[in-house]
Amino acid sequence: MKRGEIIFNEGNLPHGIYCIRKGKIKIFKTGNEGRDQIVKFAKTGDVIGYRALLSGEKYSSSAACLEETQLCFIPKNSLLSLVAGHSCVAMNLMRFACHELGTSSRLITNMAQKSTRERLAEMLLVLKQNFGIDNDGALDVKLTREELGSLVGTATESVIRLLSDFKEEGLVELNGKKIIPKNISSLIKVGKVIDI
Amino acid sequence: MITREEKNLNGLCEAMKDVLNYSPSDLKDYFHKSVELRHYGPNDLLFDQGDDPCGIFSIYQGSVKLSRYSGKKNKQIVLLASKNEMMGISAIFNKHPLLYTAHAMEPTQVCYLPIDQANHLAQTNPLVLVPLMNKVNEAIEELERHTALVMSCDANTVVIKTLQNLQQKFGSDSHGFININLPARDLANYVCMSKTNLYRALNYLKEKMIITYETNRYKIFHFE
Repeated sequence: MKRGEIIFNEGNLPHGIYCIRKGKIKIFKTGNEGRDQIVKFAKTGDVIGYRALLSGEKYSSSAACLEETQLCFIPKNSLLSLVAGHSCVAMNLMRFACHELGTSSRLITNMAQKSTRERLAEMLLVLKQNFGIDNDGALDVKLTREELGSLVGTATESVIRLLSDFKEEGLVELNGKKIIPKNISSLIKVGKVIDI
Repeated sequence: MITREEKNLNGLCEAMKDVLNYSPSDLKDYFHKSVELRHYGPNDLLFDQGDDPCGIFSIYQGSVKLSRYSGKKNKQIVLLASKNEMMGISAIFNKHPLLYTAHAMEPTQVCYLPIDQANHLAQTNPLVLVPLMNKVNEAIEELERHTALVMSCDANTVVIKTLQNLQQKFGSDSHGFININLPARDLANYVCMSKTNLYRALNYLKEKMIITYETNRYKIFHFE
């Protein structure tokens, strides 16, 4: 699948789960005003769509590719047979869900009581940890400024202004859309990061 | 003051109903022998963030606030749990310390299944994991929904939508107030605002005749 392609849409019924063979995906909710709010990312090795499938409900979020992505699809019946017949499958899915719970609760705890500037600094560190850096030293994930704004809970203009501030302060370098973290310890300090 | 009772819990563990539906009768008997009913008073501690997992807590009656500490001072209320919700599952099956600190918000009764028995149930019948996983997934969904709301909406919208969600979850009393005893400082923390900003939003919504509020109580008149 290509960048921008939708894997599943909020409100649709699931027919199976998706394992990411290669690539990066954003999971997002659409608000009343039509604005997307990214709630998490998924990358190579992750499984998506299993929550709706197991609960028998509709997707509560949408998923779209952030880059060219290869997915493996496991149909609903095959997955349910696997879960029933192999305790390790059920246990691994459970661990996956438990890990997601930890990530989601950490996100709101870390982001809730911070200013936009602090949240952006922390998010750059989270992205670095999740996706690593490419050969140019830039964050290895292609995000528009709008998507970054959605992640941090602020307007696109604010993200652009703050990134420009970060650049002036020597925290990052900007090369087109690419963001190159330069001074990690200062980003940690600005973001008041305790745990990611 | 926490008191523990051992008594016949048949018919009591509604919250565990889904789990029991997946279990054969001998496991159901095992479950009923293993589970105990715990009573907590307002502000009593159920468990602490960072502690080793001890068992599954399932609310039979009452409400519980789950907070997470970031550093020594920053406390964030991440979930407000009501009847039939379960806590402590994640730590058991992911084998990590407890993610939250849990306090009762009112007199609360909790069905408690110790860790060894929970593991035994899961190992004996893997399908038991499905409803337990669904409980974890419900918590993730609620967290994501709340985070998206807080991150993307203005203060007035965050407050009214949060109150709507709480009303949906906890119901209303005979006077139409949301059935949860929630001090303003806790609501402010939950919606990630200062108390001043919370009161500004509450007063705006009150002036518009959308809500009214008294000490620790909130009532929605009309909102679409």
